[in-house]
Amino acid sequence: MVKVTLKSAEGDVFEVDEELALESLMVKNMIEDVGLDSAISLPNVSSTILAKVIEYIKFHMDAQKDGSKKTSEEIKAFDDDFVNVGIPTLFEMVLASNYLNVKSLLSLTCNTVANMIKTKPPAEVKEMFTSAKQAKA
Amino acid sequence: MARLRRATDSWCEPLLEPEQCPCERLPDVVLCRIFMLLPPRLVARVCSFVCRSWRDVSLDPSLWSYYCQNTGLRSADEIKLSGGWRALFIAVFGPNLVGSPCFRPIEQLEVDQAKSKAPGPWEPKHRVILDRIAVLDDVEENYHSYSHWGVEAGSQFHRGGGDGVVRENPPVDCSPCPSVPLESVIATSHDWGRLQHYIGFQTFSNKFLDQSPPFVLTAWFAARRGSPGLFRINLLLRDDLKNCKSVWDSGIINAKDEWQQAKFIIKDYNKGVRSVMVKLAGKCTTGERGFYGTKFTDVRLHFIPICEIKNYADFDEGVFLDSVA
Repeated sequence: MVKVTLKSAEGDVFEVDEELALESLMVKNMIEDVGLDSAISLPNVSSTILAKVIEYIKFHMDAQKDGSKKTSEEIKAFDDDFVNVGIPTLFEMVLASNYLNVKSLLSLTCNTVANMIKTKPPAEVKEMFTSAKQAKA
Repeated sequence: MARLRRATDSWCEPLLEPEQCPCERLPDVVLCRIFMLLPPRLVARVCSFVCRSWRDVSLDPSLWSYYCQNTGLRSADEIKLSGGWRALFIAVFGPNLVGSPCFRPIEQLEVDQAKSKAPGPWEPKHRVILDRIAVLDDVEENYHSYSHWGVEAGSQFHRGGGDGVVRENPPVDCSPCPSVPLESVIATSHDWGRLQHYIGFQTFSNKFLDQSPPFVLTAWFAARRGSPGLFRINLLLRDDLKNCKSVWDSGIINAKDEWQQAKFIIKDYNKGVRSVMVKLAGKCTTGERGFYGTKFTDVRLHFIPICEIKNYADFDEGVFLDSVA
């Protein structure tokens, strides 16, 4: 199996199967352009987020394989758990999936943000997306 | 496209600055994608106030042209209205189509003015009529005011017949309506007291109307204290020859002492509707003389985009009647 080397913003190196890496259209284009010889550098994605994205793609690839015993409930539970993170991390994942162009993850994370806005009372929406700033600072 | 450039700029910066406000973090293309998943009302009223970049995206023409998709609104309609897709969307789906939700009378001096006024584009046309709605403490018995609402045409309206209605402010033997505590309510008597309101869509495009855009109809109603009552709403859907194509009916609803909001969605009706008649009716169940029947006020009728139906899942659908009730 051909391996692809991905390099995060911090310079950490992730070695993944080519099949998995091709799920990211951005990486796919890079491979087509420059080939597999050198590591693909992703200066906009931190190591923690890149690890999460890889975890997500891996789970869904396994779930789609023939002979996978995962039920749709299990997949949904995984997705729910996956996006059950703080707003800064969630936004980080939105940015990463947009940058890496992983369609399924982008729609999952965008849906999560949309649901957060939809289910909160109007007064809390502003607070929710601005107060995370103070929490982080 | 300055906005798009900013989005790509952020890709070139290695790692985003941690002190940046989280709401500013998302590139506009992604934010736009998220807004497309939300009801337009929420985007206009809530998201646009979060921060400057959210406001910019909430005004984006591509977002509003997306909302206008499949609603029968066309670019030709957009060009006619200054303000683009957003203005068009708000003009069509924003305002209450009912002329005076709380039965406000129109002063004599305003009547001629209101009668001669031509409605602007996407503005519903209303009639101003002698409404025959009495006021309880009126000195002059035969006084009746002008308004958009009238006692149902052709009804056997006569004193003591039990189908009279009266404007009350504040409501007698009843708390004020929670949504409009300072406004008038209509009180009914021991037989069905009916009011109707004409709304014409002459300034709406036929293309839009023929998509049968769903209506959302709401009204508040309550019984007079200790006097249980009934409440009913009809919506007459009429074609360009003013023939009634179909009649939608809320069914008969029981009114209790507390104010309740009747919430209905009217959809999947036959195409070709050019005007509607909203009819409200109330009565008491005890048969007592005087205005002991159901009270109602704050009537709202809106068009909603077809894609938003899912946001009205808790609204009743009512039924379509074969003949005029």
